[in-house]
Amino acid sequence: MKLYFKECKKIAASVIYYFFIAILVFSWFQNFRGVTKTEINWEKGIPPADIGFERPLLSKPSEEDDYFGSKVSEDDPAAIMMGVTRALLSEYESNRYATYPLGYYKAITLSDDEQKRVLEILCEITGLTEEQLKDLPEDYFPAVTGTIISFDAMSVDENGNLNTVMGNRADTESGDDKYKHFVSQVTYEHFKELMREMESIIGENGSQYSPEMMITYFGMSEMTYEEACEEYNQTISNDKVTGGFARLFCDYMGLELGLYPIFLVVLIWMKDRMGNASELIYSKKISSARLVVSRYLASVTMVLLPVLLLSFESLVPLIAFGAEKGISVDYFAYIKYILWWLLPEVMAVSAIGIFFTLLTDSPIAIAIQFLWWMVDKGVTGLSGDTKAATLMIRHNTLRGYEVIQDGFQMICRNRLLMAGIGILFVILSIWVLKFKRKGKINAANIYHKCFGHMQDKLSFGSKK
Amino acid sequence: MAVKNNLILAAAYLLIIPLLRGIANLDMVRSAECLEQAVILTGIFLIAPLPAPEQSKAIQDVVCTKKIPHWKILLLRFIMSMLLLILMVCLFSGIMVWKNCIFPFMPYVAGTVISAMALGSFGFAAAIFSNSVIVGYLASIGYFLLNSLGNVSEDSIFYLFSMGKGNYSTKIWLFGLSLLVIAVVFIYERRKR
Amino acid sequence: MEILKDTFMPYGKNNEIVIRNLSKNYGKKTALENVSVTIHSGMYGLLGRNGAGKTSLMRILATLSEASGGEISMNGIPIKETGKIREIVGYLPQDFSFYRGMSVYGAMDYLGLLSEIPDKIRRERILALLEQVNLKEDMRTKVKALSGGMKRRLGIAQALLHNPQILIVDEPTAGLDPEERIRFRNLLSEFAEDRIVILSTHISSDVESCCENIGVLNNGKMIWNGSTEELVGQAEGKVYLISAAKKQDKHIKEKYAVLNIISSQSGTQYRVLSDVEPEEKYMLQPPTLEDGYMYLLSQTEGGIER
Repeated sequence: MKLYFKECKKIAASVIYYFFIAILVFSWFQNFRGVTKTEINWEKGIPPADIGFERPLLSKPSEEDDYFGSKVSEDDPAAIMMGVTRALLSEYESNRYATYPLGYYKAITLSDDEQKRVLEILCEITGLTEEQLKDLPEDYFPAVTGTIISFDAMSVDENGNLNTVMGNRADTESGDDKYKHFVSQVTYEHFKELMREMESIIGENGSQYSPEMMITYFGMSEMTYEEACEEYNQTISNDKVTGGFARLFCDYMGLELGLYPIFLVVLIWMKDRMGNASELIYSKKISSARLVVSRYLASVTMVLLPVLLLSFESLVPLIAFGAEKGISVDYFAYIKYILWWLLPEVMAVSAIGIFFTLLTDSPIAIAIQFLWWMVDKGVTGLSGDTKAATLMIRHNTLRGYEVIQDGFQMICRNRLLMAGIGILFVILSIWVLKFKRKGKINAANIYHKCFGHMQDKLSFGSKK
Repeated sequence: MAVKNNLILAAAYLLIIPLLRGIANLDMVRSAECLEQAVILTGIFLIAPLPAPEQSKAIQDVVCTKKIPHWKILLLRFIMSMLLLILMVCLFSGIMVWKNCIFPFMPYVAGTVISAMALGSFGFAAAIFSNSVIVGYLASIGYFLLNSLGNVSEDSIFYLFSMGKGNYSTKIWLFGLSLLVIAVVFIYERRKR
Repeated sequence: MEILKDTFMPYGKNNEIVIRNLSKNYGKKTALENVSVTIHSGMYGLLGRNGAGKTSLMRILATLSEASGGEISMNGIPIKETGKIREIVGYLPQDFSFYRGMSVYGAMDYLGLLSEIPDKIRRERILALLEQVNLKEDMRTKVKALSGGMKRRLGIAQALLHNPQILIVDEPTAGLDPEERIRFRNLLSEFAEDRIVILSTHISSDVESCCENIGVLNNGKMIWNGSTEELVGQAEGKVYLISAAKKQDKHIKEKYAVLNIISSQSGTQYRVLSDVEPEEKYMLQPPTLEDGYMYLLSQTEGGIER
């Protein structure tokens, strides 16, 4: 396996490896660095600059606390219905419905008939007529609905900081005047039915009316003491403190590793051609399998190495924290998650890079991978949304242990699939290399055969 | 010849954009988003790989001993690519308008072209200095993603998506920076040969 | 050469490459047509014009390309068993080049790894070979800083690294100065004592001095296969040195195949090929390999080329 080490050294001596590390470290710096310190400090009583909606992860909740953080749930259907209706009314008025079918914005405009139906739905929910809907009182909807804060709820204090008025979710009593404030005239179940209809009217995925989106945007409620305790226990005993951090780390790193390794891999193989070294290398005794596998393992190793090193920035303080508090910490959480979540991803990406570079003698693998990356990032939610073919596992939160538990089987299947894709493409690459070494596959010839006559016809003559 | 392949790739990319995101009925903010976050990538296709044909030393030795200095040829390619870029952005924006998007045409086209140019020139410079087009691609894509993932602050002069935030002054900075980078590259090329 | 002799095990005299009815097509273009030849130990020269098919043949023998038809076996191993063939064949391509940022030693080491040479012997052999080709002092120099001659020497060193039984060298002396050329030829000759070395070139003098047997390729066909002496003998009695005045230049060029023109103060002398005795004042010349080669070509193409 001396070849493996030599290939690792070759990578370490290349310029592009340092570009890769630079980008990796820069992203890490912007996203994950300091998160651990912040949480540890918070537990010690130094809250972070912007608290947001959450509670300190590492602090044991006590009954005297007045706020236990918030969670996304369906506990408050009234709030959900209110938030969704407000959004629906606004979109109806402009006849522009936001959808995100592949993660990127797409505006849907409805026909007159469809708009009529939407109006009917609106009237049914609010119990108002069309004219009344056109002329709603200013405080018909409260300032804050779910996680969407309307502008007038914010005020500026003496220091020029923006503050929001928290809490005070509109408590609607059934006797409330439906003309003055929003009062849903339908049950939550029926409401969900109506929203399903809205979804099909719109016709695209990812609108605000899908059940997941409704809950995510508008279904926020406060956690109770018991729930906070449960979360804390999960963090300490199930996650052993480091688990949550490891997951968030892998979320950020996974984004980078879904794309950047391809540059490294492409360069390794294109270098053979550029240095005219291919003739020499191909005529040597070594089997194509050994050559491909050695280089493949070397790329995977060198890509994951900096990631592992970066994890220590978080691991070490957490170990110290655990020692201080007498809590046992999982030393191997980072390694576990890196191997479980990131390794299969890197395997797949690297293998695809080798295959397409060998096949086409060009860096087209970069474009292909970029496309996959864009689409995958677009369709995957920020956490808990791992599907069968997901490349990058997202888990953009320090919490959510149970999300992973619930999706465990799917995640494992998915990671096996990714690793399988990696191995498959390695085998295909070996096959391609075998033929290349015998001169049977020549990318330039194939290209010329397919596009040759087209190019000749389109030839602009003196175009450089 | 060098430009033709890039052109085909760029055109193919533009055709893919409507499959991924909507280009119809967009309001001003969303239109800016579409243009800035998707269309400017054509800058990478058209500009970053311009030094590619002369990457091999053997070819360099041949090309650089001819009467016409190499940097002039590179400049010619660059200008041609810029013209193509402007053309393609105009075309795409035109299609967007035809599909009921609402936005100020000339300012948006200019803004998009400038961001694309910045993106492309960054990669172009990286490719020249490292003598590797792949490094150029990495630099460009890295720059784009750093913006896209929120790692570059909105107020920074390197921010590519300022149009969507209603801020055109960044564009002027970007334009200036691109020109500076291009100038440095060409002075370097001139000196080198 | 003692170093090499100690490090390398000699092979027997039963080396042989058998090529039968070999052909190679690239689409409609025929590069090689029905080539049959048996090559034994020693230096074998492959002569031919540029585009005659030499490099195609070399590449097929180095397993970098597949024949369209025919059979080849090397030391009894059919060419299809590429793994085994690559073990016994060393190849130095026409445009030798390697990763520019690697050092000479690094390049040898890497290629040695690719040839699966065991670690222990690898270092010894690399040092021995580098000494042999006079690159030992430049061990740490990067490939991009090597001169043309040095690159070629590195090329030959890496081709010999795994002690091949058969060495295939494509245009080995192109770009080398006369001194280097001689050194190169000597190196190859020594190596060829118990092995097969196939040298392809269009420079006859390379072949003349060290190859016992020659094959001549022309338009993909093997138009000659035999000993060097015999090829030289083809032009025996047909090479003449004619003295003539400058104003007869055009006339002479039209009448004969001119091999060489020697201008001096006393007049101009033309070295020409002719089947019959020339009319002008002449001196019969002993033929060289080049003459034989030119004669052969002219015969193949019907009449002596002008």
